[in-house]
Amino acid sequence: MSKRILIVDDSEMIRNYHAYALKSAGFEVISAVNGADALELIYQHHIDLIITDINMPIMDGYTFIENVRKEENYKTIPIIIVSTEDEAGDKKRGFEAGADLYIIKPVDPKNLVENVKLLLGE
Amino acid sequence: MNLDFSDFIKFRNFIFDRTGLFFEEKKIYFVKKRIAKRMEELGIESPSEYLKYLKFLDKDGKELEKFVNLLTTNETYFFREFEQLQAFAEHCLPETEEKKKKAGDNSLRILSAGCSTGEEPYTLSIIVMEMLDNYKNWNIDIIGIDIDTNALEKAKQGVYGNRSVKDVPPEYYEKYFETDGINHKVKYIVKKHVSFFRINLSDTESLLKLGNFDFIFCRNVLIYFNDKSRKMVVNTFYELLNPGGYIFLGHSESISRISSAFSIKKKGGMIVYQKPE
Amino acid sequence: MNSQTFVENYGRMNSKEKMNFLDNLIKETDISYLPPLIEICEKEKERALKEKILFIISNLISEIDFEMFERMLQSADPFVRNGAVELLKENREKLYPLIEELSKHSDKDVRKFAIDALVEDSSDDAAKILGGALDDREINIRITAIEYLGNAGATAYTEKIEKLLLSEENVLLKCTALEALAKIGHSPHAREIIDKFSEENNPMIIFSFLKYLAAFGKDKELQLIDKIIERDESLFNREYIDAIEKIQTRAKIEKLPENVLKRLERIAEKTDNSPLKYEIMKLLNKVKEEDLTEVREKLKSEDEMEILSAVEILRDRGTAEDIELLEELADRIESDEILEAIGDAVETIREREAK
Repeated sequence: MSKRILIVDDSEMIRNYHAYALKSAGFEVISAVNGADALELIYQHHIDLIITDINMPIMDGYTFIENVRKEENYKTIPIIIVSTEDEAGDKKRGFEAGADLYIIKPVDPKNLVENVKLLLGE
Repeated sequence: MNLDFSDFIKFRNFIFDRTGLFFEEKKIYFVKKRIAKRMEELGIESPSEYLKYLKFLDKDGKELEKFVNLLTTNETYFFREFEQLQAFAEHCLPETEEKKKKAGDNSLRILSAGCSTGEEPYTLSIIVMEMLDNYKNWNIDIIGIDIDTNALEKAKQGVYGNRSVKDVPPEYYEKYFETDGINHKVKYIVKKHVSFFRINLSDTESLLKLGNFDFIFCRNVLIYFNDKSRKMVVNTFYELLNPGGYIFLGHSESISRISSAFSIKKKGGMIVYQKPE
Repeated sequence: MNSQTFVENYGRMNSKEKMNFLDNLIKETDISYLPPLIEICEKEKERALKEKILFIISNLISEIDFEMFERMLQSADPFVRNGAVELLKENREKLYPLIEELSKHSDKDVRKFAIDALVEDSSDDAAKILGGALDDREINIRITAIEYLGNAGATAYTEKIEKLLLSEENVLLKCTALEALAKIGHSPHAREIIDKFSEENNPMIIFSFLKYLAAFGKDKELQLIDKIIERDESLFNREYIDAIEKIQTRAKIEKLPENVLKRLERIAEKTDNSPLKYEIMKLLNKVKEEDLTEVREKLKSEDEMEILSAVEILRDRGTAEDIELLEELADRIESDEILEAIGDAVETIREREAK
């Protein structure tokens, strides 16, 4: 069974770009346009790993991650933040919210796939 | 008219953005047909032209409204969106009943926002009577609001044609309806718990005067609103709900495009939205 | 009105009191409330209250100036930052000069937020600001500007986008540029770009390049597409079908080259991706005289997508005998989608037979 990854980003281009890289590496991908959208999806599907942006309408990435971590089934799910924000404060905030990795955009697709595999223990 | 997959996705995203309605891939044919209809009426040649029209030339939103009307089956009938009502009846309502019993509170208030000709509030009345332990011990208040005075008049009468009652479970029909062969009339016991008011959903002040509710139903109504008004209405609904109360939108509408204030729960296989306790 | 007192008072209230308090401020037009409102919004944890505060702020929009937007866009609270972007978006028609100024701010994050307000804006004002952002020193902003110009169909900046496409290394930028040009439908240097990318090996770029070919490819590009598929048939996806279809329509090609047809047939047979199969079958139906017997067989398929495509083909080419088959199918099928398609097909066949 291929692992399922949830991509959360308000840019269609980024969603498609990351999705393509991950699908090509054999992962199943579903996407959401913001944190609230994504929260609905984690209840409807079993997710193995999350890749999320920070700045999004309705619900931002930090709030989304905090909400995910409140869920029994998702307390330890690997979460990667992919963001344009690169201040030390942003990273700290990301890890405090519960992220496992913080990558700055634009992302190298190979690098993304490698990190995903690493976090999934493959 | 040929609607290729990439065009379907563009339409799908646009519709979701503007109205919150989501169409899965297998609905491609359904959506295609409706696009073709609008294109024919407007004399537009290609789907991409029509999408451009919707995005950039439909200033007053009238075309979007016509398009949305085609996309939604906006005929109302009893027990519409059965699965969602099941989640309400078998999970949310009993949960609320338990909580209130423990607190010694025998009030139950439900709002049906955009109630039109009354099928929804009467449906809720039936469900409540059927599902509560002993409904006679409860103070049940179901409020139906709408902006259409003609619809409200019909609602108060409670008389319906065959189409409206087609989905009523037979046992309930026996118990709660009377018929002369052509018309179906809702019995007094159902009407007793329901009252109707003419209120515009954009009128926050009037909405707030209605008091607090344990459940709010607002199904397939908000899709016609613009972003800002939608947010305002949902925020008011949040305020009207008791802590732990539930809000139900149409099954293909998503709160996540409107507000992040509600908690998402899964009940009976369905996603429901709850005001935090 | 004292800002500090306002914030302190608010901080002492419980949830319900806060709601009532804020309800009374909904019609507020006094701009001096703005700084304390921003402050309580940042401090507030309950989302419904945050949303309400933002709503009150949004009603003050005609008075919000550059400094206030700057303040919100640089807030440590992402809710406030995103709220500011939403305000810019909702009111952009009155705010272009302000957005333009913000798009030139020294803080790269503020610049990015400013252009985010123009995500689906096709006006000339928006295009001008986005066009300016194509020169931004931050690559993320250049990429975003390209994406949004693509969304807007802005023809005035295609040459600039082409230039970036041909000169920059970044893969995401190249993908975004290819797709944006395809969306805009205008690319003066298409020949040069197609030549350059025909040797491309990176599957990420090929993915976007196919969309570009769909928009600008000529009939000889059909062979190019076939060559690309040949390298790895497992990567075949909808973008290939779309490209072939669009080139065929644009170049008014009657019949696709034999090798292309054969490859499509083979892929349709091998794939277990049913939506993909559906798309290929539709394409093949358009350009090849498929034996209707095979199509009628597909009505009995387990696969709903396959049934749907067969119904559509019969709608276009079936005869009176097919009506009975379709009605039989209608009796045993549950799917609303297919039932609707059957209804449509039967009606169309009847009309056709009546003529």
